[in-house]
Order: sequence, then C-alpha cells, then structure tokens
Amino acid sequence: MKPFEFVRAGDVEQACQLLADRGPDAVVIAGGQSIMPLLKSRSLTPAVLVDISRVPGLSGLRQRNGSGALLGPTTTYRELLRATDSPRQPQALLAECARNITDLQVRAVATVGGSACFAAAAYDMPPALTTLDAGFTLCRAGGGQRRVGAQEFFLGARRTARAEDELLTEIDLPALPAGTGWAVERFAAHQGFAAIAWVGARVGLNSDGSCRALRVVLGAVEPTPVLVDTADFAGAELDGAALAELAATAAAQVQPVGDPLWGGATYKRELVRTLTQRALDRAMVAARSALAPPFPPPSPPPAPTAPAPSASPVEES
Amino acid sequence: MSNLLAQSDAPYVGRPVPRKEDLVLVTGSGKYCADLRFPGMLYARVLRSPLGHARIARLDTAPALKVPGVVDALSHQDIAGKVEPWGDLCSDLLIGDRMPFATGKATYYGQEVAAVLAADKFAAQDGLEAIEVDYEELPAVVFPDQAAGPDAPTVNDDLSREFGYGNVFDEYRIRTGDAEAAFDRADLVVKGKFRMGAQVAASLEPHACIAQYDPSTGKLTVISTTQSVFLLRDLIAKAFHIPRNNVHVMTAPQLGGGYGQKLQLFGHEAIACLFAMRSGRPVYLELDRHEVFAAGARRASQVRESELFLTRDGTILGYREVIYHNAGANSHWANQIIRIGTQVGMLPYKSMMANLHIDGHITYTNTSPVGALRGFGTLQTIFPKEVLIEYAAAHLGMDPMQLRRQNAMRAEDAPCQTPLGQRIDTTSLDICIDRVAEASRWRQEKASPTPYEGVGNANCMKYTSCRHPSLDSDLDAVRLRLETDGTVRIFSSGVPQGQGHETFMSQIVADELGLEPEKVQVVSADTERVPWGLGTWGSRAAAITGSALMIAAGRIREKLFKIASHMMEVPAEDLQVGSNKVYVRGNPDRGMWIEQLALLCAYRTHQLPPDVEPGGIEATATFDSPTDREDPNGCGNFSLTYSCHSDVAKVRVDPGTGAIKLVDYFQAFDCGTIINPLIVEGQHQGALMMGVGQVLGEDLVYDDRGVLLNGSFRDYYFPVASDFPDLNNHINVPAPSFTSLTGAKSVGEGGTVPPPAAIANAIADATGIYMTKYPIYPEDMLLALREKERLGVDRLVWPPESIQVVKDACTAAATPADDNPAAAAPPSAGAAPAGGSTLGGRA
Repeated sequence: MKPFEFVRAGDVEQACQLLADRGPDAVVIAGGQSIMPLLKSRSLTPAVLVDISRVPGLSGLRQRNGSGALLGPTTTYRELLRATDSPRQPQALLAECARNITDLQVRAVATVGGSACFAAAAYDMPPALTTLDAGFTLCRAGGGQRRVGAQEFFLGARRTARAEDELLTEIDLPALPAGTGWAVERFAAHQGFAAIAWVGARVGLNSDGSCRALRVVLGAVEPTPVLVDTADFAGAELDGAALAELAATAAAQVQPVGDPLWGGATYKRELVRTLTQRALDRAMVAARSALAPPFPPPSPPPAPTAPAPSASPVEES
Repeated sequence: MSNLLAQSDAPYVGRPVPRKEDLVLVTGSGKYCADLRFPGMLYARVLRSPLGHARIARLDTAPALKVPGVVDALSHQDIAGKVEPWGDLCSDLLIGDRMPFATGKATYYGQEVAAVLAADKFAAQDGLEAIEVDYEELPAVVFPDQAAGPDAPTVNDDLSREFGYGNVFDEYRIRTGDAEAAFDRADLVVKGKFRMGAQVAASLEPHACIAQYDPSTGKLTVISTTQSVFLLRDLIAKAFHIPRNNVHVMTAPQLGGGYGQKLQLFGHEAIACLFAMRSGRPVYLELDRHEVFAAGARRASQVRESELFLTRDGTILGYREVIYHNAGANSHWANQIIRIGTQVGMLPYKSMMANLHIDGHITYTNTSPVGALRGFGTLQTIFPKEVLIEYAAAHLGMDPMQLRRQNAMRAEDAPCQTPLGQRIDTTSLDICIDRVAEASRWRQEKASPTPYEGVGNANCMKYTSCRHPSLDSDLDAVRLRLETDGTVRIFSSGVPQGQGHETFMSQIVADELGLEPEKVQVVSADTERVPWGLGTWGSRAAAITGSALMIAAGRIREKLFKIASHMMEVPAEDLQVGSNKVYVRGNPDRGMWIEQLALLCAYRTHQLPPDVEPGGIEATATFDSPTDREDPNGCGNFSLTYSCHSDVAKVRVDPGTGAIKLVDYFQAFDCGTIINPLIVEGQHQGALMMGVGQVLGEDLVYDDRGVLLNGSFRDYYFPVASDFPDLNNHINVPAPSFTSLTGAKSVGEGGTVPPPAAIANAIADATGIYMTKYPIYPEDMLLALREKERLGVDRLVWPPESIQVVKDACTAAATPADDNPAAAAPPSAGAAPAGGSTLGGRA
C-alpha cells in the first residue's frame, strides 16, 4: 500500500465536489471488496480515497408501491439479504446472487453499488442488474444528475458509463410484473468463488400461460453482461423444446473470452448452454407458480402433543 | 525393548489424549516468526524475476539506496565469489546450482534478482520499485518431457558437468527380473502417457526468517520457519564458510505448517543472513503469499509413459516406465523424490515388482524448484499404475478391486523381502481392501450403478522415514532430562508443525517412565540445545524419534531402578514403574516416588549406590533405522517399515457442467501401533484433503514463457470445506511394526497418496472416461463427455489416445462374450485395438 489521503464524505455534494476537484487522483471507496486488494498490491495508488460508506441516504432499500424498489448504492450484501422477504421483489434476484459472494465477512462490508461501478467481468452484480433492467442515477457536483440504463451503464471489463467526477447515488429496480418468474444459475470452482459462467433468466407469462416477456442475461463470459436476443421466441409457447432451443441460441450468440485457468471459450460456451437451460427451466416453474392463486392460509399448527408413535413410511425411507 | 503394542494396558499410548498443543493454537496465543521482535530490527524484501527465462542485461540497485528508509540493497554483483553455491546430491556429488540471487540470468519466474533492507516493509517495497533491471527474454521450457528433448533451451548453462546432459541433470533407473520376457509372456499390455501436476502446500504460515549477527563473536543466529534446524544450519555454514559452532539455528515457538516445503536453504534465508552480516542488525524477511506460490517450493510435476503387463487371469507380470521428472530450475530434493517416490510407489503388487524396467530423466525446467511435499513422489508413481490397472480390468472384464486384491501383498506374506529389496515386516493390505470394500458397499455399487456416479479404488504402501540416497543417515537423537521434581524435558530436533509432537512424545515417555503426560515437556528445536538430528519430515517422528525416545527413556528407567533397588534393597529385576513411582512388581504400595529418586541423585549424592553417576538424570539416545542404501539397480530397503492404504472414492459427475463432486470417501489403513487416535484421525483427514486437492484442481500453471499464472489463493484452484464429504470414514487395521520400537508406522503422508488414482478411477466408473492427467478440471470432464457423446462409444480415454492396448492375446482363447475379433492379433504385433483410444473387447 502507498500512502494516500483519506476523506470521509459527509454528504453527496461533498463527495461529488472532491471528485470534481481531484479528478483522476480520487478513488471512491465504499466497502472496499475490490479496492482493498488493489491498494495492498499497489496496483492502484490513488492520491485520495473518498469514503462514501457513511454518507446519509446512500444506503438502504426503499420499496416503491407497485413500481419496484430504490436501492442505495452503499447497501451491503448482508443488508440486501435482510431486506428481502419475497421472490416477487426485484431485489430478491440480487439477494440470491449475494448469498454466494465470497464469505460472511466480505458480505458484511461489500456493497451493491461498489460492485456495479467496479464492474469486473466475473462479478455477479453487473449481469444481475442487467437482468432486472436496473437504472443508475449518477450525480455531479452542483446538483446535475442523469439516469443511465443497465445496458448503457456496463461498457467493458472494469469500465462503466460513470465519469470520473460522477457518483452513483441510486439504483432503481423496476417491479417484476405479475406472472414473472426468474432464476439465476452460476458455475464457479467452489462456492463463494467468482463465477466462470453466469446466467440470469426472467420469464413473464400471460394468465393463459403464453409468454409475455423473456429476458436472458449472461455474465462472466464476455467483458460485459450479454443480453441474449430472444426476439424469435416472443409470444411463443415455451415448451421444453423451445427452452432447449433458447439455450442453444444463447450459447451460439455468446463470444466467450477463454481463460487459461478457469476454462476456454469452448467450455464456457457449453456452460452457457447448460446453465441457460437450467435457469429457464427454473424460471418457468417460478413464473407458473407466480400465476397460480396464492396459497391458502396455513392451517393452524397441531397441538403440541407427544410425537406420533408410528412414523410415516416417507420418513422411514 | 518392550513393544508398545504388547502393553495393551499401557496407560497413555493408544489413548485419545487431548493434544497439548491446542490451547495455544485455538486461543491465538502462539508465537510465530512474524510475532517476534528484536531491538533495531530491519525489514527486507526480495525483487523477483517477472519472467521465466531472461538474461539480466543490466541491474542497478543504487537508486534503491536513495529511497527514504532504505539501509542496504544487494544483488549477485555484491556477493559474487563470497558465497558457495549449494544444491542437491546427485550420483553422490553435490550439484551446486543454487545461489542467493540469479547469476547473470533468471531461470524461473519468482527467482531472487535483488533485495532491499529498510526500516520497514513499506520502505523496503519502495526500494524494490526503485531498482533498475533490464531483462532480455529467452525462450523458456516448462514441461519436463520437452526439457529433455534435444531442441529445448538450456536452463542452467554454466554448471560444471560431471553427469547428465542438456537439461537432464541426473538419471534414475530400476531393474528387476526381466521386463522384456514378462512382456512376451503377457496376454495383455496396456500403455499410457500420464501427466501429474505441481501442487503447493500453501501452509497457513508463509516462509519467514529472522537473521542476527554479532560482529564481535562472528556468530550468526537464524530463526526460521524450517523443518530441520540442523540441515539448515549445516547448509548456511557451508554456503558462508562459517564454523558450524558459530551458526545457531532455531524455530519460533510455533510453525504454521510445513508439509515438506520448508526443508531446504531458500534464497531468502541466505539473503537475510547476508543483510544481517552486512548491517549488524536483526533482519526480518517474510515471503508474501504470491512469493510462497512462486518460489516457496512445490511438488514435482511429472510425465510418465507407463506399460503394465498382465496375464488373462489378471496377474500383473511386470511394469515398464519412462519418467520425465520436473525438478524446476534447481536440483533441491528432485533426485530424492523420484528415487524414493518411485521405488516405494512400486509396492504393493507382488508379482509386478519381479519384472521392472524403469528409466527416469530428472530435468531442469524454467519453473519453480521443487521441494519435498507430503507423499514425496509416491502419488505420481501410483497414479499411472492404478489407472492402467483400472483400464486393464475393464478390458479383461474383471472387477478392478478384485484384480488389485489378487495381486496385492497379503498379511501372511510378511515378513518378506520384495524383488526391489524392500523388507516388509508386517502388513494388512489385503484385509484393508476387504474392509474398505465392505464399508463402501463396493459390490452393491458395482452391481447397481447410478448414472454419472461411480466408485474407484486405489492402494498403496508408504515408507516410514527413509534413508535418502543423498543422506546416508536416517536417524534421530533425543535427550531426556528427569528434573529434580519428577518432571521430564525432551530435547529433540523435531519441529512440530501441527502434528502433535508434544502430545505423542509425552505419551511415550509417560508410559516408559510411569509418569503422567502432563509432567513431560518438549523443548523446541534449537541447534544450541538439542542433540543433532534430522528434524521433522518424511513421516519420521512417531517411528524414528519415537524409537529414540524409548531407548532414552529406557536408560533413565534403568538408572531409576538402580537407585531404587539400592534404597529399597530389592533386586532391580523386581521393579516396575507406574503412577509416578518405582515400585515392587505387583505391590504399588512398596515403592518410591520418581521425584524422590531424582532428588536423591542430584541433592543426596552420598546415598547413591557406588556405580550410579550422581547428578541430574539425563539420557541421550540415537535411533538410526536399519535400512539400506540404493544399489545400482534401484533396489534396497530404504524405509524402516511400510504402512498401507486402501481407499474408495465415490463421485458424482454433472454432465451439464463437468463438475466432479466427491460424494463419499473411505480410507482403510495400517499405520502400525497407534499412539494417539485423535492425532491419527486428524492426519488422515488432512492428508485426504491434500490428495483430493491435488487431483481436483491444485496445480501451478505456467504459460509457455514460464510466467506463473495462478500465484494467489484467488487463482489457485484450492479445495474448500464445502467440497468435502464426511472425512471420518476411517477403517484402522493395525499390523504393528516390529522394526520400529514404538510399533508405529507412517501416518501423515499415506492419506495423500491414493486419492488422485481413486478419484480418477471413480470418474472412469461414473462416465466411462479414463483420465490420464491430473488435476482433472470440470473443463476436461465436460469436453471429454461431449467427445464421448460425439463418438458414440462406451469408453474413452482423455486426453484422446493417451492409453493404448499394445498387446492383446486374451481373445486367443475367445469367449463367446468377446466381441472384439480385431484384438486377436499376433501376440507381439503391438496392434492397437479397433476404435483407437476407446476400449474395445469388453462385453
């Protein structure tokens, strides 16, 4: 690590002003999941570190009635997991990914926005946010701000639409319409490790079971998340054959970047096919169950009596 | 000498005595090298080669000296002619190919090029960044089979050549019986080309050392993370031409793992000594994790071309093999690893050992120099053999475990001497195989297979310490001191790294002297305090050090009996020890406290019998194993005794991703007398994890320029807890040794040996794909599965064609079930079967 100036920003304006004044010498830090190893190895030697982890209003999740959720960029994975209680909430897709990111200690400090802005090719958040079609609000000193959609936000490995003097202040997650099912499949060397291939699938069904919306996003295979072109499947009935064809389409469309350690392009393409198929299968099940009427309220629990003397045959097997 | 097994009523040996070491470890109060501070201590860092092979055209350390906080900087230019090169013994001659810094050219990624000494680590790093080096890159060679070829770039070009040629710096051979005749007699010959990867131990504690020099006395003191204080001391003294009594080497109170990889004089240790001698200040030098991966030693990767000869009824007649052994850029240990690993790895199939023809080429490459590592060459040896057996068994339509069982050494064969000269005192291998089959439900698994699930078996026998070809010594010495309050101190050169030395040594001494283990303490390894010994490595402690302890404790007991006999007027033969007393056999009330006897000997010397030497009661004893040196045909008994293992792995393969999940694992073993079952259990669990890591991912990956690609825990494919099933399927079938005085055999290493082969064989059972290289990555698995689908075959070898049936005369007696008439070629024609690498001829 090289010496640097450390400034803990008190509000968004102060942080933006620092970025405007110090330009490329300033680096924003929130949880430090990505930045700390780079600082330690001296791969990154900023003159000033702008810590936004305690800026009020940048953290937490606000549910918007019927129109999705607003996510503060410094929300940690742990907070995200705690703020999720139904798969119908859009943040549930992020939370499912967060569960598999590194370990408990890192999940307690690493942030969603930090991961999105660092935008490493193997990270989960860029494709997950793309699957949700999230929007990113970027602020400048003086109050200027703009909103960038997920597909325009991720420009390359470790490259986003955020300019050096901009701060990510909000991520909006559009609501999942009724009849939407989603699933994420990732393959990694071990649980908690970076993905070698990542697939997110969203299926929206009409009440008659026909396909209304379809979104398949691939991660960790190209420098940026890949939105699979599913135009050919619009309105089609998504039976088993169609899903298999869709998986093959995804594998055919992707141009994987091979890696000497984690898998060549051919292997990654095969993984995309398998994972897309699996994600679609699960998303279809979820979508169908989202269409089904809600479960009847649970029957009252049986009175706490002594365990039944004869166990059921299912338990025995 | 009493054999501990005979004392089945021994109060402590054999009991799960809780480890004395653990309180310090689990409370985080251990003191490692990095915890030690000395007044005026300075910090050094090493600049390492970023290239695999490059001429150093220009090197200037002067700019580093201008960096604030920097005290000194060094490169080869500053020490040329002042340090004697060191290295391994080859053909009984020293090959001096190791220096503190690269001399003229860098021969591997991570080699020491220069170093900086500074007030703190950060200033030292700043100094490194100021050093100016111009490299001229040279073509590199990273694989041993390529390095042995005529067109390979030469790795070490200015060595004086007394043996070897090109990059091959030594040759190895085994000859027994007549392999050619065995080939002629064989009905089936299968041949394969196998590649085994380069694992690193990645101990929790990185390599570190503190060197101090006293200019007034000329004494050099080194505290290092070494597994052998005396080997390190002697190497340092020789390299710097310092009398050995002026070099003092010790370890910190704790060493956080070694596994064999902290067992040499490393460049960084020499650099710390140089800085200490130049500055007169204590110097701390610690490797970071990347440096540990790049230059902290690794397992020897190998390429083996192996041929197995069998009869149609599954008797193995012989084995022929050419080995390309990747030593890395220096000779450390490489010679010992191929010799001991290959010779011991030829066990346990009896008739196979009768006809062996093995040639090894020990080659330099532009990769990190190898070191000893848990298993020491035996994993690499048994993998090709066990996979070929699996393949041959399928070809013959036999159960592979049954084929192994019928060839394996049996309990009733021992004691015996193998054709390779190994003296097997006791074994229980056949029983281990039966018991592991039963525990793993082998028959049921084979009879009703589940798609993409499979079981695999592999067996081995494993040395218990070794007389190394380069060291005609396999000894350890200990000194015991009975203190005047009846407590005992053990002075041993053993370096505990987590094995529980203090616990098991205390148990042995406690039983031999009739004390409680709490009264026994072990003094940590220190060349100024402990008797000369080889240290802790190569599965030596329980058998070799333990035997020395028994001799020393016996001497103390004799002396106690003499004094007690005089005091109590009872013949010494009628005395025994127990409950902290020496007492008359069968009458514990008639005795004297050991504490009293010790006091008497030191403080009441006029009461002693005339033939007892007064003073503190001490005894020193050495145990040198009754083993042989290697003969010119590679034969001899190098090891004190042999443990054995029979393992069964159960795997599940995901046909969509190639992921290989270890579902269950069973280990049956003989490690002789168990001194402490808790320690044995822990050793087998740890060894299994290391063996599994080796086959399912661990390997240093170099690109073709010799640049290391995965020198971090992020990139090195390391198994984690969630990758493992239950680690407690242990089946202990003890056959106590009678050559080791403790009855114990090796424990720590054997568990690493079968997993690569057992798992590869389980994969073959699950998928019909025979893997001939490890690590086996999900990528290999999935591509092989796709290829198998494409070809529409039942069985496939991966990589393609890496196993061939060279000779197949089995179908001469064609059974109706046999469907491969192509294999009925003339016996000596060496015809490959129809279908190339796929396995024909199986009903």
